[in-house]
Amino acid sequence: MAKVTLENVKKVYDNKNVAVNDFSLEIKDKEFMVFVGPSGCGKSTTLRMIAGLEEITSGTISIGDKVVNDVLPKDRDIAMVFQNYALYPHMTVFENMAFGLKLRKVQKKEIENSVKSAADILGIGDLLSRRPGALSGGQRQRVAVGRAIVRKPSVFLFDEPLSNLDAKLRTQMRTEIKRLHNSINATMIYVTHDQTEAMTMGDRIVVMKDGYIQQVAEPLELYNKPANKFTAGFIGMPQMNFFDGNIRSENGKLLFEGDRGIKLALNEELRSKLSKRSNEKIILGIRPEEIGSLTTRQKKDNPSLRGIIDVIEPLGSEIYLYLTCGTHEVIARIASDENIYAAGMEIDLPVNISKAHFFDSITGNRI
Amino acid sequence: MPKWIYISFLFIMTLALWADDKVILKVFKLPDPKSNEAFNRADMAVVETFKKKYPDIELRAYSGIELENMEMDAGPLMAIAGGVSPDVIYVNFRQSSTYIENNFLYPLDDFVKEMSEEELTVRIAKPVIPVVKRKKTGENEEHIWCMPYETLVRVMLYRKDLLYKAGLDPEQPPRDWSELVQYAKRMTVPEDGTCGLYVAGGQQAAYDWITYLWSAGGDAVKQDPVTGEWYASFNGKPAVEAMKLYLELITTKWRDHNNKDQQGFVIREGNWGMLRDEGKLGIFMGYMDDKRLGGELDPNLWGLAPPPKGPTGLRGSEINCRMMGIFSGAGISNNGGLGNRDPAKVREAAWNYIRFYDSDEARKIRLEVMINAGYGRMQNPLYLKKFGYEEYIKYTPPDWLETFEEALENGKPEPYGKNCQKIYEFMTYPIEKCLSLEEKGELGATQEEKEKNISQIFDAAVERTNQKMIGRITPEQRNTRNMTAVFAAIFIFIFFGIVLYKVWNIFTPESGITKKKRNSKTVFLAALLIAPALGSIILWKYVPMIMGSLMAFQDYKIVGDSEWIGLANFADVLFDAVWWSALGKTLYYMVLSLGFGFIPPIVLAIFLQEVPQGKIFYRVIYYMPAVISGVIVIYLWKLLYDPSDAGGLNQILLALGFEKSRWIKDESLAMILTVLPSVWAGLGPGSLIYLAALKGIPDDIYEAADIDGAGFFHKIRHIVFPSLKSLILIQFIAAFIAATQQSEFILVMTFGGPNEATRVADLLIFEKAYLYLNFGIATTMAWMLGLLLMLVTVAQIRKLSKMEFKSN
Repeated sequence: MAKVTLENVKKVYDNKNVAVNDFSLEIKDKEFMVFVGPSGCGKSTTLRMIAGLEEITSGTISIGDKVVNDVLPKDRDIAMVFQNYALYPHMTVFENMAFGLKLRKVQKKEIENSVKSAADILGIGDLLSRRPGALSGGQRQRVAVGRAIVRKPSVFLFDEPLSNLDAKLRTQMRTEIKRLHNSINATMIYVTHDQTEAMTMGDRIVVMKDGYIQQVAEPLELYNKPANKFTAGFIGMPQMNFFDGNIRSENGKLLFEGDRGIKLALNEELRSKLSKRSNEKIILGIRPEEIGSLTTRQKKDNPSLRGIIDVIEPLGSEIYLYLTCGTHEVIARIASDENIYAAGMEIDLPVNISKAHFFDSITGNRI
Repeated sequence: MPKWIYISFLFIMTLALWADDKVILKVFKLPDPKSNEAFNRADMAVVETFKKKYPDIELRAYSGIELENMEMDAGPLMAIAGGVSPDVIYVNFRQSSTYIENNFLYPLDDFVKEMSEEELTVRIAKPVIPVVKRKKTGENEEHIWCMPYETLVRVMLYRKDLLYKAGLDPEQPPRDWSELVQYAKRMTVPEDGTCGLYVAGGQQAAYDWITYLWSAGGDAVKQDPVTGEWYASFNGKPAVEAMKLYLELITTKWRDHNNKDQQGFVIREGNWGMLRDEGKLGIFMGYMDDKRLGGELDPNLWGLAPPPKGPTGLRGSEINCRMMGIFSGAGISNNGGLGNRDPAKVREAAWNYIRFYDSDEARKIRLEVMINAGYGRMQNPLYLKKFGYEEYIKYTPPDWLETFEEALENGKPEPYGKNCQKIYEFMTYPIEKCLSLEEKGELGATQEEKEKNISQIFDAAVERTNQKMIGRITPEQRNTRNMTAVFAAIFIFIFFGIVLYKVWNIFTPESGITKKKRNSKTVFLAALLIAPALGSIILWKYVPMIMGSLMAFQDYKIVGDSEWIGLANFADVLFDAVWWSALGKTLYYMVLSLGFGFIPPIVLAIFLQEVPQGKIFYRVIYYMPAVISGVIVIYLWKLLYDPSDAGGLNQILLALGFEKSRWIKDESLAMILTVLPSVWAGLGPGSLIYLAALKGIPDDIYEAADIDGAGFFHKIRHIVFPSLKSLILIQFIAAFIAATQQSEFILVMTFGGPNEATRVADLLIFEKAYLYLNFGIATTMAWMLGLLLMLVTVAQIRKLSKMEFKSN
């Protein structure tokens, strides 16, 4: 069993900076768990505490059934892939991968087999005699992964391993790592600041901010039911549109009236949910793809947003429209074949109000 | 303009003109005006009188470098070599031949004609005449080269109260060797720290032993009456007899009243002077001079007597003189800072000084000062009578003058032959060897065997002295050496060519890299910009190097013409065991220097990196020795190494209940101990360089190693050292070369001693140049050392050239 359990884990540095606060999580055996959040949110610190590279201020960390707070990194049965690869520059690829096994006094033949097998999986079999200086970024990353694989650990830890790669390679490596997870079926904990990586790779995702867990959920749940405004804004590309405003009744209908000049009629479903919040401050969030898309346009009872197009960003398969609605800046996402617009045009874009999210204006929590 | 300005101007001009008439005379030593000591005041009075008598002569004192263990002759030689010699130079017996052969002395024949026969007889004692007046090699005519101003004899001083305490007649000193041994034995009482006899130890120990050699009928060096060539002669029966006496005095094993094992009845090392002053030393050999006889000795406590008679009935008193001569380059080649001087006037002024310094007038002045200072009874009765102070004669111990005159009549002048400034060193070698073998029980089981071995040892020492000191080799030996030198020169030439070729290749870009075409204007501009720097390096480094290298093919003379001698210097160096020994010691020094000095900074850097707290504090305390001046470091360590009870390290040992150590005076420890101060001072800066490099190793590599299971030493081996490899190699090259040129510490701390234990090649080159004035040999040695260094440096540069330096 290689589940990882964190109970009330806290990390405070000497300067009283609280990096991780009351972190409790259970990672299941063989799960691919992703920690995501902005820089400084405590995700790497948490990972390093699991690895044993940082001391825990309070709380416990268990790997399997064993509490590992005071266990040395080498004895925790973990392997780690670092952001900068951390390959030993004076050793060959083979020696890098074999180093951990050699220290554990594994037989030479077995080391050779393990290394060659891992190298084959990663497609670096012909690089074994090279030194890291002679490898590309992607190759080095594979070697770093290979070094982790040969150890056959209970838990793999990845600390932003793809950050230093270009976009294309990142996409490729993402898939490979996921494929690797499927093939070796080990528990993996993956830290990233990239929400796309998180969404595409994780079985579950932990969203962190300022040392606190914001939400733990599967990717789609996170996307469709963000627990708070931060999570809603962090997950999804482009970011969700947020409007501060009030809920108001008008002519028997419930309206959302934004502070900066928009008005959106709410449907029946929302009316029942939000009627108690009438005349209260509230935040409405709506994802770009729910504004102005064909599907949205086809629903006749959807409210509209009127605005002037500032910028049109064609991305090939889709187009982002940047509009000013009242004084709000709004982003809409439409399919590339739906583009009938030009910058400067004043348009009405229907909003798929059933996909709107509402958040408490004080706590930011989902309503 | 006011009148006073005109008058002042005229006055200054007069002074300047008058000053121009003054002859500046640089004298090797002048009395210290601040000292109140009687002897100094007496000399001061003479100098002041001279100044009044010769107002046109401006006297200036010379001062030079003094180094630990440096012989007294080294300073003047270094001054001559440096072109800053005084006009009036000090000459002693042992150095006189060197001075004459190297043309340092201006003959005094014409000046001496001014002196009367009586004056000459008084100034130059009969035994001293052959030293002062002789031929230069290759010339037929004798010249007078220098003038004594103080005559000394070496006599036996004995402590009357200790004789009495030992049950001996305090007025009856030992008359022969047998009595000497007996007296020494009876006066040696280890329980109260009393010692019977002092005999010199150290590198120059033979200057005491020569007394006994002469007493046995032997001599240190002799001169062939026909060819005039000098040769060593301190072997044979007299040497055996003298050595046997020493063995008896120094190595006899006996038991004291406390039944404790003792050896010998002499003191050879340590602070024997303190023992003497405390009245715990029975007998020692010392000097008496012609003016002050017993000096400050209390005649109630001290007796003076000629040395005891040897087996032949002879007494081996040494006769010596302090002498002055006129530097041949006075007013010509030693005018540094003195402006242009008329050599003839300078020489005349020098002669006036020399003549006056020990004239009757000067003797009277000194006598009067000494009498006024209360030392009347210590003065030579002959002078007391001559100058009208007979009333003091009755206070002077009568045997003092008798002793002096007897020693002068029957004594021998200190060796004054070729290169005799080194004679004591060469004579000390077999003495110490015999003593050492006897202590180990290897000199011989029977008396006969011992005598035979002693004889052989001294024969070998004489042979060595003839070859090394005097330079006498047979024609066959000279031929062999010359042939070897030719082959060696060819080999060196080829080797040098290969080295140049390899270095050229290393720094030449590989083929395939196309050369950029540059126009002549760009090339000219580049050459113009680089010319000053290149010119400076060529002028100040390579021109002196090439010009200096020519000395290797000459019998180079500082004054006078040098003779071209081809490869003879190379031949002599190749066959010089001292040179190879010095090279071996250099290698030993390098190994110690690199072993102790190279690894610790790396280790310290690692510790400074790893220490969890107080990093800044530790860095500061380790760096601080480096900011202390090198001279202070040396003297600080010398205080620690002092072999007496007062020495810093010995105090610690004694406090911990251990026996004290001789430290820097111990041959087996000396080399290591000279290395330690530079290691100590260099630890901090060296470690900071490595620390900076260690900071460049990313933390995540250490973390990866932690996860892989690497311990501290695994990380050192697999991460730290591979990362530092290039820096270590660069530092090693610098440290390697520096280790061969680090003779400053040795120069100041041991000057090659004790017993040549620390005489490294660099120091030997210095000695050859500035003590032997053998610049040809010195340059040859320097080149040979340089070639050896080149060999290693090329290998290192080759390795370095293959390294690639990246920023990450």
